Order: sequence, then C-alpha cells, then structure tokens
Amino acid sequence: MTVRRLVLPLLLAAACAGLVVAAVRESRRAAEVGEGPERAGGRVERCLVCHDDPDESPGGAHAADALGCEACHLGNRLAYDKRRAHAGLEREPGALDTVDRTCGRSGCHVREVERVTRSLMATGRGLIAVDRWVFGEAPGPDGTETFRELLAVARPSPAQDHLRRLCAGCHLGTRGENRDDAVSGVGSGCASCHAARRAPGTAGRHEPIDARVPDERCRGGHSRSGRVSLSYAGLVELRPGDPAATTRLYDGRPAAAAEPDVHGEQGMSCVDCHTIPDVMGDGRSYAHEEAQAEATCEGCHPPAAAADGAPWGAAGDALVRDLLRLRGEARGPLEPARWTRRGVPLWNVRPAHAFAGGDGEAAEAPWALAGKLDGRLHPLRPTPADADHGLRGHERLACVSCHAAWAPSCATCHTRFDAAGRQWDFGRGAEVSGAWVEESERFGWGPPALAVLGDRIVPAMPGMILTVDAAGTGRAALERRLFAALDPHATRRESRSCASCHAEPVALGLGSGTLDLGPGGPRFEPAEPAAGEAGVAADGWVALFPSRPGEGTRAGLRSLDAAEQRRVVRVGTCVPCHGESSDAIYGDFGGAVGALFAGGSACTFRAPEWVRGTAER
Amino acid sequence: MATVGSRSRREFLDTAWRWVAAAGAALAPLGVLGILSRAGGRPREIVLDPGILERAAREGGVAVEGVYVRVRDGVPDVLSLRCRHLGCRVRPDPARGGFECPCHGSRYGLDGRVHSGPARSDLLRPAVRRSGDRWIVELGADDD
Amino acid sequence: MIEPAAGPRCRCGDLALGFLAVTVLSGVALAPLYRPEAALESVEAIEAGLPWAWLLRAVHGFAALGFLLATVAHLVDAVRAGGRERLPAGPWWRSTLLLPLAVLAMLGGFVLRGDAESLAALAVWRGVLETIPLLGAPLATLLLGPPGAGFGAVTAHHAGTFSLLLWLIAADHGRRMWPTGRSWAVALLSSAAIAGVVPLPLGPAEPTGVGLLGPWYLLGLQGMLLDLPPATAWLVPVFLAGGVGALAHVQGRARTATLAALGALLAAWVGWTVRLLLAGAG
Repeated sequence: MTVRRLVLPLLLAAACAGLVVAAVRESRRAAEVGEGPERAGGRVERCLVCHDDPDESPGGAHAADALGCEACHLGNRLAYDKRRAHAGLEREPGALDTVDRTCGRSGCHVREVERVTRSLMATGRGLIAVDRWVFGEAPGPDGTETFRELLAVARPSPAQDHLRRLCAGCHLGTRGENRDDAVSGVGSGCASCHAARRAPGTAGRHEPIDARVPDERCRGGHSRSGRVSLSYAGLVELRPGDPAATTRLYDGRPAAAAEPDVHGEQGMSCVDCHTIPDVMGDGRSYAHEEAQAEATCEGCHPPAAAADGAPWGAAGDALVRDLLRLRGEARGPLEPARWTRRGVPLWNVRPAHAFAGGDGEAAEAPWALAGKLDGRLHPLRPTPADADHGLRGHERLACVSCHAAWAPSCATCHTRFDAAGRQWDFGRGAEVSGAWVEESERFGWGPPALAVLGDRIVPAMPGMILTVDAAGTGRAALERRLFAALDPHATRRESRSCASCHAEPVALGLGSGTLDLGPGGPRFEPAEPAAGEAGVAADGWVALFPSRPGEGTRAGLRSLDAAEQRRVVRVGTCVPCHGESSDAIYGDFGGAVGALFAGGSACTFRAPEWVRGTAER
Repeated sequence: MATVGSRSRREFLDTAWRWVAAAGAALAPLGVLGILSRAGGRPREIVLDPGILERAAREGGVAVEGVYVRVRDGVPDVLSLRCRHLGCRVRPDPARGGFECPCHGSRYGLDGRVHSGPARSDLLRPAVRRSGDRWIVELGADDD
Repeated sequence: MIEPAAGPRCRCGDLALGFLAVTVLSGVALAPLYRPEAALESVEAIEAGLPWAWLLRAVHGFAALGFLLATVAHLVDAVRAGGRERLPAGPWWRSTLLLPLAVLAMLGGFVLRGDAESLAALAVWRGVLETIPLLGAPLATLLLGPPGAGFGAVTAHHAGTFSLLLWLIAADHGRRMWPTGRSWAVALLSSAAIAGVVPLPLGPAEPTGVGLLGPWYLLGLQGMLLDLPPATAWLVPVFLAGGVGALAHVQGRARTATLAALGALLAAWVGWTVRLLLAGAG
C-alpha cells in the first residue's frame, strides 16, 4: 500500500525531470533549426537553412538556390538536424566511385560521366600497361588493366604497387586526400577539371563549377611525365639545386624559361585545340593517349590545296551539339566545318566571315579559331604549298617533327623501392611501409630525336632510360633504354634547321656527342658514354648504325635503323652549302649525288666516299 | 384458413427476408473483395535510354528504379529487383557478386537465380519492348 | 464461482486503457502534422522542424509501447489468475484480438515513418498477407492499399480502424469507456518522462547497407522468416491468439498443455529474435 501511494509522486517527479531534459533538447533543437530557405528548384532542400551563405553556392548553372546541395553532395535533404542531414554526405562530388549518384545522376550528366569513366584520364590503361611492361610483368606495352582494377588488387605486383603509390595520385579516380600537387586543391573525378581552384583568401567559399576549363587545371596532371603543360607555357622543370633554374613552377619545383609554344604565345588555351573526346573520351576505352586524342595540326592548318571543310550537316558529336545549344550558338547544315581525325566537328573553328566582327586580323585568313575561354579570334593559315612542305623524302614526317622546337628530357631515371620509407597507397587509402623513390641525374631540354611510329616519323625523347630496383637490393634488376614519342607542345612557326636533323647526333637518336661526317666515314663520339654499351651515349637511344633499332614505349615505336640513319646523314654532308629546301639538289638527291661522284656536277665539294652509298632519293 | 394462410405467408416472408439478408451479407464482402482484388497497383513503365544501356554494357549492369539492366547482344536483359520472398528490394552486391535482400538475406546470382536464403524462386524478368532508340520495361504488380 | 486470485493483481488492464487514451490523444494532435504523400519529409519536420512536435511523437510512441506492455502484463496476470472465470467466453475471445490489433496499429505507425526500413517493413507486411489463401491479396489491398499507392490506406487504418477497434474492444472488455484518473496520470506521466529523454528512431531515406530489421516486437517473426515459410508470419500470431482464446474452454491438463504450447511458441519467438540479431551482426 505504501509503495502504491508513492507511485504517483515518483512518476510526477520523473515526468518533471523528463520535461526538464525535453526543454533542454527543445531549446537546442530550436537553436539548430535555423532560418533560411527550405526549398530549391521547387523541392524541399533543408540543407539551405544552414548553408544559405551565397559563398557556399557554386553559382551559375549549379547555384544552390536552383539545385540545392543534395543533388551533388548527397546526404539527407529532408533532415532538420546536422547529424541526420550529413549522413551519407559526399564531400567530393564528382569522385568517380560515387559519380553515378552525383554528376552522373539521371537527368544530369549521364553521358559525360559514361565517357569520362572510360577515358584514359580515368582508366590510365596506357600508363599501367607501359609500366608493367617496363617492370617485366607484361610481354608488351599494351594492356586492358585499369586503375579501378589496379587499386582493388589485394596483393599488388611491384609495378602495380609503384603505380598505386605514385601514378595513381593524378588519376581521376583517386580521391582528393593525399593527391598530388595542383589536383588536390579541389577534388577528384569531374571536379578535378570543372571546379575552379580557390583563390588565396577565399577559403570556405564554394568553388565555381564551369565547363570552361582554363590551362592551370590541366597542369595538375600534365606538368608531369611529358610535361606538355609546362612546355606549352615555355617552362622547363629542373632538378632541385640546378644552377640553370631561373624561376619556380606553381608548386615550387625549380624551372627555367624556354621558348613557349606559338599557340600558347598567341593566348590560346589547351581546350582551344583539344576537343571533348580528346579529354573526356568518346565512350570507347583506348589503349594509349594518341589513340584517344583526335585533334590534329591539319584540322586547323590543312594543306592550302585541300578543299574547304565538309559541311556540318547532321553529323557531329552529340555532346558538341548540346554544347552549342547551351551556348546559344547555331550552325547551318551547309556551313563548312573543320573536323578532327575521327569526324568530330571543331565547333570553335569557322570561316572567318562567320564570326561576328571577324573582319579584323582574323579576316587575314579564310578561317579563324575562337578561343573557347575568351572568344578571341585567331586567324588560321593553311599549310603552304611551298618547297619546305613539298620537300621530297619528307612525306612521312609529322608536322611536329620539324615544328617542335624543343622537348623536355629526363635522360636517366633510377626507380628503387626503399623498404625503410613510408608512402601513401591509393589502393588501400592508407600510408603503408616502404616507398618508391625515383631519382634522375639530368633534367634538361633540347631538340628531340626522330623516331618511327608506324608509318610516321615523329619526335621522341628519352622517356625511360632507367633502372628498376624493385627489391630494394641496391642493384638494378632491370635496365631499360626506351624513348617515348610525344608532341612536345613546343611548336614554333619556324621549323628546325636542316642541319638540326641531318647533321646533329640528337636527331638520329644518338644523344649528346660529336658526329663526324668527315672522310673517315660517319663516326659518333658520345659526350658521356653509357656504361656497358659501346658507342651509346648516356642520354642516347642507340649507337650510330645500330644492328637493330632502339625500343620505344609503344609497340610500333623504334629509333631510326641503320639504313635510315645513313640516308639522313648523307644529306648532312651537303647541308652546309645547300641549306635551302628549294635547292635544286633536293629535287632528286640520289641523282645529284650520283652526278657529283660521276663528275657531271658543277659542285666542287669533294664528298667523302661513304656518301656515294647506294643511290637512292 | 385466412389466418393460417396469412401466418404462413408472414413466416414465408420472414424466411425469405432472412435468406435475402443472408445472401446480401454473404455477397457484400465478396463484392468488396472482388473490387479489392482488382485494385492492384497500376503497371509501371521504366524507360531505358541509350545512355543507361551504354552504361549497363560498360559496367556489366546498372540498377534503375527497381530493376537491374544488363545488355546482351544489344538487347537489354532486365531483372526485377523485387525479392521473391516477401517483396523487399534486393540490391546488387558488388563484393560477392549477385544480389542480396536486406530483409531476410536471400541471395541471387547475377543471372537472377536464387542461390540461398528464404526465397525459393528466381528474380522475375519483366517484359521489355523497343521504342525508337529506347526500350520500355513493363513492370507488373509482381515485378514491382 | 470466482476462484481466488493466484497471486498479487496489478491494475494493468486499466493502465492499458490509460496508455491507449494517451496514445490516441497524442495521435490526434499529431495527425495534422503528418502528410502521407510526403511521409518522411513530414516526420522529419515533426522530429526537428516544429516546436515540441518531437515530444508529442515520442509520447505517442512510448504510450503505444506502454499499451502493448500493459496489455501483455494484464494477459499474463489474467492467465495466472485463471482468467476464464472472470470473463465469459465471448468477451474473452473478442479480447484476444487486442494484442494483434495493437501490434498492427504499431506496425502501421512504424511504416508511416517512410524511411528505408519502413518501406521494407511495408513490403514484408504485404508479402506476408498475400500468403493467406484466397483472402490474402484483397486483404493486403484492404489494409495497405494497392502496391505502390503510398501510405494513404495505412494512415487511415492506423489512425482510424485499428484505434477505434482497440478502444471499442478494450472498453467492452473492461466495461468502461474511460480509464480511471489514476491510470490517466500514470500513463501520461510515465510516457512523458521517457519521451523527454529517449529519442524515437528515424532512419535515412535510402538503405545504408546494413540489414533491415523492422520493429523490435516483431523481430521473432522476422527471424522465423529467415528459416520458415512466409505463412509462418501470420500462422504464429493466429496460433498465439487462438491458444489464448482456447484457454476459455479448457481446464486441467488440457489447459496445462495449451499453456505449454503457448510457452513453446513464445520461446521460439525469443529464440528467433536472437537468431535474427546474430545473423544481422554476422
């Protein structure tokens, strides 16, 4: 009975206590609930109640008052309290592992995401295949393995481990945490290119999202390896402590100034030449970048004799059509167009008269290119039909074989595994024991070598004169002497001189040294001989007249072989006097040499006997 | 006679009324049940645009609005994600392959065949028809 | 003849009516805040967007829980006391509906949250009903609406049908319309005391990857569904209610056997609850 009498007072006390706690919770709730807009674009978007600062909106087409936050950042847009609202939040929208729920969600950028996830910047197929081949783990430099697969491997091979710790840092699919250099500024995946970098002093402000990608967003990845971003801007990376360094790169690496690319000099940006399929892919998975990229010199500078571009018609890439629609531009089906090598129209290249106000400098040429970022017009002159471009024997040369003024080189590279170090593994998302260390003795720049890629002559640089010590024993288990073909993006209007290719050892793939074209026959003296390889320079690809050509980083890439070298240096003996491409001897060089040795020539030059060679071209 | 007749008539009427009432009482719920059993959910259609099919082809398969789409020889191969046990929505399990039901743990293979768990039958394959460059998935009440 | 009680009697029956009254009144107050067409959104608003509404929801939830527990306690008490003698067979049978109805009403409330777990619970509920021969499909439509039709039917039955039946049967059973003042007070004060301190759960809109369990008082049935045919989920409650109802007619050894059967079912229920939780943890 006593207990029964106590029940009510006790419950009353408990209820009072409960209500006191409730009052505290209620006041906390009221304080947190905030005031602000609760809707965005017609739907409930409670996120905006707290995130109502205009600085927290990316603005433009992705403005928070149109899309809200959840469309990109996921989480719970209906929730009122922070804990529930932030459950499942995506801090890096565009990261490829969740991109099909963020940028690529239904109704947004489904097609773009499909393309990008298959493109080389996401798959890294070429990078992976070459690395595994160089490490001796694959029979050739072609493969289908992607970063997505590589990062999921439970027990990575040495090459896979090397790729996971070093190369994966620039790959689009790794997340921002611990990513390399400039990429780490904003995010990963789509945001790597489409989110603007934060200006100093604007921390906490949402980066604008835009389709117009300026050059500095490309250099995060492309200031490495072939370093085309740097060359384009006239910069050469140097080793720390190099006295030649006169400046520093955006991330502090020492650098020297060199001649910039003529297109960069004119204020053109990367995207002015590189199309959507170039950078985001076309939905197919390619093995190497030269297969995916489709911009060509001839797209803008076709031979003068070539017919005007085929008309737009209904053809063209679906994304290009959408892009034009979004920009409020239209093209008549009969308007002539210029095309990439795979048939995607260059929408920013038009007949000069088609541009409003295109009667200034642009009108000097029949076609003009509009800068995609600034709208500036650049006149496009056709490749002239002159002696330089009609020179016999040069039909196989890519434009950049002559017009690439220089290329960066990293002539030796020692890759070793340091068991004592620690390094971030992007596959595991954690720092793990051991570290891959890459050391080079020489960073520099100069004219590139000439190489054969398929049926074309292209520039190549010492890409991988390297040793690999994957076991960390201190002794190189693997030695490679590979050159890599590249468009150095140091294009100049004036071409290399004839002597630069025909009388200099570098062009022949010999590296630095002295090439003697005297009577004793062509002889090459390396400036610094490579250890254990007779006649090969430390920075060279092959010896003079090699028994077999040097290997490149592609299946179809090789150095000039002995016969090709011989043909090149024969011309070299004549170049000192016959320095013009219009010179009559180049119309039939073989005949001219034959006439010289037969005494039927007015030339007084006593050519060395070896120049007689076999009479050809 | 008349009294007897009127009595028997009243009895007859009473009995008749009882029968009518009983029949009504029996028929009314049957009618309601009839209506209810026809009040199934409206069949739902899902449009598969070329982008979805391309992604399905590339990634091996993709979950869209309650169905899982794969592409075989250019034709979408669609599985309903409705668990055959009790109707929860199963979800793709990339780690172990196939699909798993979050409610009672039924597991299905990538082909929709039931592997384990309380479910006894395979995931359903709703009808698919072509419409231009798109495909329409027709979901019946059992598929959805 | 009324036999003396076998042990101390609580006043759980009247207390249950008190909890039911608190549940209904708090439910009436919540009704205007709930929108079936925007279920999760409106529950989110109740939970954090409106002043004190969360407390109202918590009182509603805990009072319902109090009703369930008090009803179970009253049943146990009545069975121990040999309850048959206190009620004629008719009202006793009707009263066996109280617990199943209470569970249905509470399951309705669980489903009305509209989060991922609720949607799964709705699917399972429908799936189980559809295994009832002949009546299953129309009964599922009657209680839950057509598939994909939203929460309209569940809302109507949760707030209307089930509540009304519960009150009618409870009033009929207890021979009174309203609880005593003391039951009112106990129900209200204890619900408020707990509601002020313990938050009611609410899940996310999308499943987060872990298994979905459903309401705690049905975990035993959920567990049975892992191993037994789906019809188990309605057969077991039917057997439980039938067994309790049969107590009105059996005596002596038959009564002991019935109680043993009920105890075995309850033990199975608890066992499968453990099995489910272990499976979920695994």
